[in-house]
Amino acid sequence: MIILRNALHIFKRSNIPLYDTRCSGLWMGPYGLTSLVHDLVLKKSKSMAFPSPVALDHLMPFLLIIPSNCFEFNMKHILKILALLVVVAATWITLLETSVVPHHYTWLLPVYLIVSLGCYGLLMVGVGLMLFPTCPQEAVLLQKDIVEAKEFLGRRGVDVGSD
Amino acid sequence: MAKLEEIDTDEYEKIMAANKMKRKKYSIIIPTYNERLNIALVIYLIFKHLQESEFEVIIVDDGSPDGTQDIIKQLQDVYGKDRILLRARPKKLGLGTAYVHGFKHASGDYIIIMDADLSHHPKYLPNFIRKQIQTGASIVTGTRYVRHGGVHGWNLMRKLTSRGANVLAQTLLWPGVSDLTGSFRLYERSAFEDVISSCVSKGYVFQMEIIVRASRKGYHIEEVPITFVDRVYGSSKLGGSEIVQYLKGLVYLLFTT
Repeated sequence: MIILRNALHIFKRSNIPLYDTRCSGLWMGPYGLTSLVHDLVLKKSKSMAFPSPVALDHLMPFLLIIPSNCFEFNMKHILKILALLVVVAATWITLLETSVVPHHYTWLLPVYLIVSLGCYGLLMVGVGLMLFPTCPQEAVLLQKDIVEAKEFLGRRGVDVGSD
Repeated sequence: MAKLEEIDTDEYEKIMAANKMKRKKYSIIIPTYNERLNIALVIYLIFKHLQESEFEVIIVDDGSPDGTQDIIKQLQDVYGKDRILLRARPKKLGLGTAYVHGFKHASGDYIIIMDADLSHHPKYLPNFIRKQIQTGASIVTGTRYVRHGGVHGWNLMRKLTSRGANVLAQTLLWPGVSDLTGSFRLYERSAFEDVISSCVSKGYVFQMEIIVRASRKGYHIEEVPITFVDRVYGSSKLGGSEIVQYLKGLVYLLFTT
């Protein structure tokens, strides 16, 4: 079933109206994910050594989409982000399934991920704020330039009175 | 020793002569609105710092009521009607359309855009040109957020908003440039024409859209540090509506580029 679906995907990519590739990518992703969850729920896959081949089969449509730039097809940015999120989600589900890491820890992993992303963002803002480049001397130079310009233009008959 | 120097000078003169034959022309597009005093100062500084390059200045004035166009006519008497082109419009029609209007009258190989309020200092123009020649980039953009760049005239709140907005944009959009909203840029003519035809936003989100679309299309973009002295008279307020406009712009760019 999975092999058939992957073959269909590759076949679709070989003749390439752009919208087709994009559309196939769009529905392959959620389909891959839901079929993975479906397999898990119906317990069709037994626990296997990490990385689980089942998870990889479901991930394959996505891994095909990511190097799609070489097909002269600029993937929309949001699709790249969605693909990344689905890969992360699939890894998490695989971890849940294969019990490499204790379960109570695995359930909290997404929360840890989001919190650490938030902390990283705040850190970057703080560091950037501390290292914000300022240039007070430029204001002084600018005033000098203004004086020089006013003098030159005044001599040439341009009206440089202040507004 | 003297002979070596002679050879060097001959070689140098040959190179300079060859360069003169394929001299590139730069068109500087400046949109203005009520910049009566500043535009004169900006023009003087441009002519002072760009003495080795061939260029023209195109001023797109949106019907300023304070007499900006009269000042520009006086400047044309000083510098020549072929160097300063005034292409006015009847009323305020937006920044993006101002660039398109200026581009229609531009005859240069490269297009430079900058602001008229002296926040962009023309002394960095030779840096832009040199960077473009050295790297062969299609777009050279000025960035205020790197070393040797900088901002003056911003209080802590303003810096915080700017930094937060920058981090958010970098995380969401992966744009490949450090300063998204800057408007001091140099474009190759073909790159400018290509990118500007696909941009639809208004205000400073327009600047973000240009650079993000150019980045997505794969243009070679280089950066040059610039210093930004905020308005000498009257601080530009950053209110809630600007922040909302920015966030809307980010979401729009996230989903359509």
